[in-house]
Amino acid sequence: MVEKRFKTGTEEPEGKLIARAKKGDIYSFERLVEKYQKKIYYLALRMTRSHEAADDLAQESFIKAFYSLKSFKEGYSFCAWVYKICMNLTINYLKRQKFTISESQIPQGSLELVEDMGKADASEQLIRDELTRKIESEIDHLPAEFRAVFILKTYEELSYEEIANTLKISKGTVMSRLFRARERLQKSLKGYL
Amino acid sequence: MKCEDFDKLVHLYFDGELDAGKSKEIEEHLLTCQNCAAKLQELKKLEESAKSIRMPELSPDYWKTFAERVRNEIILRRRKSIWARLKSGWESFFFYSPVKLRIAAGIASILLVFIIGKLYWDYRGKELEKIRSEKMEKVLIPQTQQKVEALAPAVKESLQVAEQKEETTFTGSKMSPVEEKIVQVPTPSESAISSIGEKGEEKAKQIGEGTNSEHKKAITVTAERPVIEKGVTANLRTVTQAEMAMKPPSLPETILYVQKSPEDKRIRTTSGIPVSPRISIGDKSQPIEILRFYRLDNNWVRALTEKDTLVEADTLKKVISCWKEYFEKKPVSEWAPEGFSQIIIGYQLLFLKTRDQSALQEGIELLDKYKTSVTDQKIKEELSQKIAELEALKKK
Repeated sequence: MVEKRFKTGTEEPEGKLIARAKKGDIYSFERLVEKYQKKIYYLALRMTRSHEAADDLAQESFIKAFYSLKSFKEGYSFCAWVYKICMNLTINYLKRQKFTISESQIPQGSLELVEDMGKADASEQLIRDELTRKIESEIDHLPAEFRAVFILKTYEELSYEEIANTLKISKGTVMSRLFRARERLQKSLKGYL
Repeated sequence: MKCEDFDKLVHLYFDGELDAGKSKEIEEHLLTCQNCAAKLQELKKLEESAKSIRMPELSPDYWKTFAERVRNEIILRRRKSIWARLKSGWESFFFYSPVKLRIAAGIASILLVFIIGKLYWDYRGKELEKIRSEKMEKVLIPQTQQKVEALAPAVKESLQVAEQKEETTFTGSKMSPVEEKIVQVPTPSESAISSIGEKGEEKAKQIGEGTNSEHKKAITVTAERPVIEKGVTANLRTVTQAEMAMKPPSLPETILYVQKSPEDKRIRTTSGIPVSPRISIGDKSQPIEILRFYRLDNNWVRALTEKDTLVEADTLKKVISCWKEYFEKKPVSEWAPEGFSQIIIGYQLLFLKTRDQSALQEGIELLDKYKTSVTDQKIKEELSQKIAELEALKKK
């Protein structure tokens, strides 16, 4: 139940890969990286809004995971474990950097809308673009802890319990931070929503 | 359900964290309450808007090389880690602990100096002891034995008697004035030292008659080697012939050396023996005290100084009497001025020891008598001054 989002397919011999990696087989670990690299990278990117930072943090998360493999418990999701490492590194990074992203730092193409934009007329398109920019900006201005909970819930669609495990906080704290993050966003986006 | 309750549960409902019963309650409330339905709608809009943000798609090449880069970085760090561990270990051992190294070097140096010093000290003590022993054995004992053969029967007899008494072995005749002999004997007591003069003279008289001129330079005295016992501070010492007649003493060791200057024929003392200021006895090393003696013909008299406050009263009296006897025997022209100062010091020390004013008075009278006898004006003045000092001391 707790690890439902992180369950891996039966076709992947993840357990064997982990066992070999634990013994120092770097190529087995490489396969694990290949499997989860996108998830970890995009998690870091959503948090930092910077490709360079996300690239560094994702790599660092895997490297740290490799050196900490001895402490990895069998039966636990490897992906969730690397998520945890990545979120810790990212939150520390944001706290250290006092990370506040400006629009110029946002990679091109990040403001695309999910909907087929060809069908929308010009005025609707402009409104949506503005709303998206505004939401991105407001998310970026959330404190790192609030942002982490909001991103894990909204984009990664983790349950409260999974978020609590990933961030090593209580379920109550997850609820509290999520409600407050939403409240702040709703308040700042009042004219747009 | 009330709207207040809905406010608390709307997020849980929206996130699917409520059980079926609660969810049904909320759904029923939403059908009747437009305000709460609007709140839920706001949450939905927020999430839709947030989800509408798309992340950039990265090129396939980036993803192909991502895992490889991770692998290379791990290998690189692993190498660095091994090297860094070795390096830090090496540096911490040799370079990054200068304080530790200095402390260790300092302790090692101190220990080394201490060990070398101790070894050298022991070696030096043993060597000195050895040299002294050899010197005495080679120079004195064979000489003594040789000359015993040539001695007059009276001397041999006296020697035998001395051996039987287990005291000292004595050979020889009257010494030439400049001669000094060294023997090993146990340390004498102060009283024993003071009696050297008399006893030495007696012995010399006893044995001197039967000797010839060749043997006059061969007066040596040997005594029993003392038994070295634990706790005894001094057992061996080197003394002059002056102590030849002494009994085995109990005081700390001394080095005695007497010489008369051949140039001016006056009696004087010197500390000419090239000895170490310390002497090693067994595994112990201790300082040496140097005593001086005046030689008055065949008598040996302890040379007094104003610092000799520990000298016994009997010794002082004997020193005084020796000098008195000397002055009586000798003509005024041969009087040694040292004798006056020795008598003065003797009386001063005696007074300080006994507080006997009559002794001091006796000294004043004696010096007064000498003063009238001497012709040298300078000595007269000195004696007058000394007499005045003694009188002042008496009044005090």
